[in-house]
Amino acid sequence: MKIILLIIVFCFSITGLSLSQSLTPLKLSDIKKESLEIVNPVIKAGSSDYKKELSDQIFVTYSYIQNLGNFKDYYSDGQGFMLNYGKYFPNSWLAVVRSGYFKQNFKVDVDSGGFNNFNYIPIHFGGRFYVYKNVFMPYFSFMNGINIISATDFVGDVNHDDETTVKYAFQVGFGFDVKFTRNFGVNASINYNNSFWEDSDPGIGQEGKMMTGFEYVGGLVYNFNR
Amino acid sequence: MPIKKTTLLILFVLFFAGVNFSPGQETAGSKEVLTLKKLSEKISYAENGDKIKLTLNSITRERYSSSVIKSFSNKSNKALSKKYDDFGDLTSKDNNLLTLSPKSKYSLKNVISNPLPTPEKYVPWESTKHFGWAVFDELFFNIAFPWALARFGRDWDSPGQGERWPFIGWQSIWSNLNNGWNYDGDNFQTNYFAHPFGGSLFFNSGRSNGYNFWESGAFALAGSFIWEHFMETNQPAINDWVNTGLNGAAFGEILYRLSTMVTDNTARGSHRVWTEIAGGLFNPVRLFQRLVTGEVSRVFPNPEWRKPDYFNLNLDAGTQVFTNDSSDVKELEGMFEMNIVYGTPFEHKRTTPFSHFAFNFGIGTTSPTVQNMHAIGSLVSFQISDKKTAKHSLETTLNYDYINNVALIYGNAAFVEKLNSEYILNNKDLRLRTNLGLRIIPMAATSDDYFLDSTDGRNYDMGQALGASAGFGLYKDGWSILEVAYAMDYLWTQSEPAFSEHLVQWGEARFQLPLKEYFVFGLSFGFYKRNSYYHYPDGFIIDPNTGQPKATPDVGFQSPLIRAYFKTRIF
Repeated sequence: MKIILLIIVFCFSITGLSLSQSLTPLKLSDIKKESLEIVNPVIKAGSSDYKKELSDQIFVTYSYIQNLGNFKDYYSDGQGFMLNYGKYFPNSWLAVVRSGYFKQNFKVDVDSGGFNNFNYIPIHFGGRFYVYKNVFMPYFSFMNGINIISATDFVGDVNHDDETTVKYAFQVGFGFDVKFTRNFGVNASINYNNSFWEDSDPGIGQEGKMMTGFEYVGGLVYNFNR
Repeated sequence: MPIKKTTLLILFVLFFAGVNFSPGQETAGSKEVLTLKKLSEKISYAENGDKIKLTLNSITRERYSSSVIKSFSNKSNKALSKKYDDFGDLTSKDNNLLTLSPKSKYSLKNVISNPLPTPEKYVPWESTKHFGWAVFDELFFNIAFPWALARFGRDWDSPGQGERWPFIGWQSIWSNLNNGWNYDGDNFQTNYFAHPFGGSLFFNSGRSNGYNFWESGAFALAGSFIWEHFMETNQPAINDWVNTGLNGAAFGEILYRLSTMVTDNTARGSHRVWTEIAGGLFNPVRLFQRLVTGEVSRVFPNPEWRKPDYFNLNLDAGTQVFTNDSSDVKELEGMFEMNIVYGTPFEHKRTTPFSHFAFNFGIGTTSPTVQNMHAIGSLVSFQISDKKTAKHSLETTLNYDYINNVALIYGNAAFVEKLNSEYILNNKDLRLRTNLGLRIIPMAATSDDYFLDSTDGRNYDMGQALGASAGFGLYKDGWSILEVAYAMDYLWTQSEPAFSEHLVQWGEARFQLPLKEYFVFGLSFGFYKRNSYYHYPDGFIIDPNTGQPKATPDVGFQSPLIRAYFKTRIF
């Protein structure tokens, strides 16, 4: 949570610096200066110019995951970061590809049934549908892809093999972008994660430990103006 | 209770329909369309309108009923009313006025030279996006209504929680969110036949409200997600989600295009009624939306893409022989097939998804009745070269395969990367087409020789697969003379218990002899082949007869396929 606060403070610091910038229209020759131009939501909101605000973007996000279900009985929570690239498609769609690194925290009071080190590298693709394009841009999102999972140091059984495996991952959620300048903004979202780990199989007495959880995300966005 | 709710829904729909069924709605397209009603208005507004009298010449008299002509001839122009809409459309071009008498023609030209302001152009419903209606169709028409039918429309006498899937509550929703995905135990027909059709309804919630193929695909995936997580007590099944989403998009787009093709926005009278009914049979969601918006009775231009450059619907009937997978006995049965080819694979002017597709549907005289369905729809294609004698293109297709006969059970949703080539041989009418494909399959299923889900009865495995396909064909005068096709997929089982892998292959060579322009005789030789590799732990599979652990050796099975048939082209 501290990191999210830091991100927000960082964004405000950028916008604060740019308060002295003029509100003249964007010129190619002045693109550097324009990138820090602060957006006045009162003036811009609902204007036709702002209908064009959706653009290609790069964004870095931090995620905190609150696990659910049987998986939560072994791994309390997780966190990680991702680097995302979004490609704009008319008129409200953003296709996104992303990758990063995540770590799940094994519960200290559990003495068997899980791995002390549980990390994964997600490689996901999907998209967002923006329901409103303005200074405040809410959206619904869907992402899916693979998690390359590395699990080592099984607790309670020294003979248990370490595992490196690839599993399907899926995420739906909603969030919003807020653009503070023409190029910079912040992002926040809440997602539901549903990723394969261990399926339930009554035939062999295996209980399911699918990686379900709620993910809280904050990030920094850089927009490529069209 | 269920009857009352159903009745209320029908009344609700009819209420909208009734409001919008007012006759005589006219629409101006890109050129001014002048109906008799409008003509009447124009004349009545003209300076000398009361002096103009229209009479019909002999040609026009032959075209229209005597009652219409009588009224038309006897009344003054101000009295012309909407009943004359049957007269049809007139444009302002002179040649269209030649069907009237010379005197009328002169008068009309004067009137038309000072027309009324052109009416505001009508924007067809499907040409703009309607998010609210799309969500309404998705949530109420395709989710809440079927759920309510299942929950209240039948007696649930089984006390087992798993059998009472519509008895949802906050607890079941929270449980589903906690447990996450699973592979379900439903039978093959439910998962690979019913779910794709359900998905087509989700898909058309978007498609019938102005969204394109890709956007509507999101509606199919979202609808299935909502259904799996919130509308059933069963754990969400990822195989349902994929089959409903991907195969639903394939079916949905095919049905949307067929519905649009048979619906004629410019038709009137009984012809219009029948085209709307036919369109509604293909796509009930679209019919519902057209009832709500009143487009079922509005006259307006058809979309430009309504009719493809090429369309071929043919039916065939014959017999086929293959070997039963379980008994190793050769079986003979009657077989009926329908084939649709929409658009041409080498037409690159319009490369929207499914601007070219092929659909095959076959039923047999033995059980199961529906034995095969295949859909291939073009998603994107790129032309590599286009010469007089040879064309090459790269194409990504969305494929659906459903094979369910005594020789092989196999289903999938697949993306196929294909290299298509067409060579025009010496004779200009003779074409050789080839294709080579790589198949990426998010969800496939085929028989498991040992596993049987004791609760739901599933006896097949599901998982992801990779495969390849190849084929070539000789075509002349719209018929294939020779077609050879082969496909193979390698499936890694992911559904528990995941102790198997499968190699599935099938191929067919068809020879067709055109007897008439619309009639051919065909012979087909093919095979189905499955190699299954099992690595169940010792003692995992128990023989139900002896109660003892059962060995699980690998299994190889092959069935020849021989068919003889007659085929006729309908369109």
